[in-house]
Amino acid sequence: MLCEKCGKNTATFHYTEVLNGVKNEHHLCGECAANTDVSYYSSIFDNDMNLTKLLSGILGGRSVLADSEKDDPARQVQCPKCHTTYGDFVANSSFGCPDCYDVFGPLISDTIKKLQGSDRHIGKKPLLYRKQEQRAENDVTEEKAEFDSRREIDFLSKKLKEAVAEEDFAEAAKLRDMIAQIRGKEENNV
Amino acid sequence: MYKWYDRSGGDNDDVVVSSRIRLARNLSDYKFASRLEEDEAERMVNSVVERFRKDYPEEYKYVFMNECGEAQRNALKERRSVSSYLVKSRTGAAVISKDEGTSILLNAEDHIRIQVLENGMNMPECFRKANEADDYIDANFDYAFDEKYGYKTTYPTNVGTGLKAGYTLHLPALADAKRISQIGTEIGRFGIRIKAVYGDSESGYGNLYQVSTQKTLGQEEREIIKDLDDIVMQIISQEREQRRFRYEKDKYAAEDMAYKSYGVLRYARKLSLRDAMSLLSELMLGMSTGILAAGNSEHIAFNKLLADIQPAVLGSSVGRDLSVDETDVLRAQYLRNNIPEII
Repeated sequence: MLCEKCGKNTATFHYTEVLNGVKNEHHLCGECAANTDVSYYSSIFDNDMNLTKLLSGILGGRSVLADSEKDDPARQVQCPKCHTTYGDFVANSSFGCPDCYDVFGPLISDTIKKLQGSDRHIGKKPLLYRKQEQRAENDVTEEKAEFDSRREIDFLSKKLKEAVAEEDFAEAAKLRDMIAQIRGKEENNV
Repeated sequence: MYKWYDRSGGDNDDVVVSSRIRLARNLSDYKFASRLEEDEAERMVNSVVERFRKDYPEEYKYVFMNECGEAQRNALKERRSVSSYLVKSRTGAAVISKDEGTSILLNAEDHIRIQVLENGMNMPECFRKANEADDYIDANFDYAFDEKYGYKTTYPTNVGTGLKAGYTLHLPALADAKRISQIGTEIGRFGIRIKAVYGDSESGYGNLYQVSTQKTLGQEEREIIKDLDDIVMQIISQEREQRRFRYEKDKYAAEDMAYKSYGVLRYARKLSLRDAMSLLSELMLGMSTGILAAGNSEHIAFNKLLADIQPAVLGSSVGRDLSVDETDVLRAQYLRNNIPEII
């Protein structure tokens, strides 16, 4: 048997990778084996890729069955920011940009649940989100003075816009008050 | 400056070789790494590197993949400072702490991947350091985050906490008893996976296994780590029990194996990676069961030995590409000089 990589030398290095019951066989010559990723620790970093193919399997399997429904509106969806289509998303099992979560998120909520056992994050949140929560509970511990209040105002303004677009006026009012609170403090400091 | 792998020990170091945490993060202002144009990718990478350079001129070194030769990139990979994905990324870069325990990978699968390595079983320290780096970046850049899904990542398998925690375990007795697959099935139900570091699970060599978390949604970071720790503690006690059982069953065979391996490591003139890993595994086992003891009664820094005998690391130590034969000779020489005297 010839080496699968260079196709020249006889394969002397036979390697079987078993991952969640899926077997992958590799046949390499000594030289290619020494230079290939079938080496110490390299595969650990590649785990994401393998696991990710699983998703492609789940989603892709379904879309093959639904081949007759090529006009399925879900398949026509495209992310306006990075132009990833639902087809791309399924084929690569990956999102193209942060906005893709808003576009494809609702379509794959069930699949993510199947894959992860849950579809809701609990745990750490970025600083800006934590601060917003603290403000909502009126529990703002005085942050370090150098914290950029400009960034916080930008962040809350963006959320305000989203709330208005979704006609969630109660939330919008809260956000407006938070922004006013920060601005007021800024003026006092001047 | 000591490297993380120069030290040794750590909790349960008779079985746990190292601990690792990884956090996946993305910036909200850019498309994900796979979709970034080269100039955008450079802008993203540079903005993060510049920030770090300004605030930490001494604490980190900055490595751009396109400025490194292939051998240098592979050596970084074999030392586990960077991922094999980053090695192939033309626009990728890494911010690496001076002790090489913390790496911040830029523009690999995600914009930012924070990785922390420690000797032995020491996940709290990994988590503390990873969080610290995460908080620093968070204070300077806007992360892509979703109220429902959490930290947005390129792959849906990382979304949420973006956290993967894993231990490298040395499991010679369980591997010998062909118990690894069974353990894999048992722990799979808890969203935890075991995988041979080198080779496949039944005939992997070096007997090193990576046990790591898979799920990133619906559980808090500390809970994810606690579940992993609970399971790893069970694997550790099974391994210890199996080691005891083997020793009591045939103590002469165990002693013979340990001393033979030590002898070969001390005197061989040529060693393939596979052989060297297997011999080191026997040496580690002999030392942890008390058959062998280093003359200076110190621990051996196995994480250093394991990395130092990898091909690209050996090549970079002499500053040129080596043939397979040359590598094997150099490996044997390195081990002769670095395996301590055993009493």
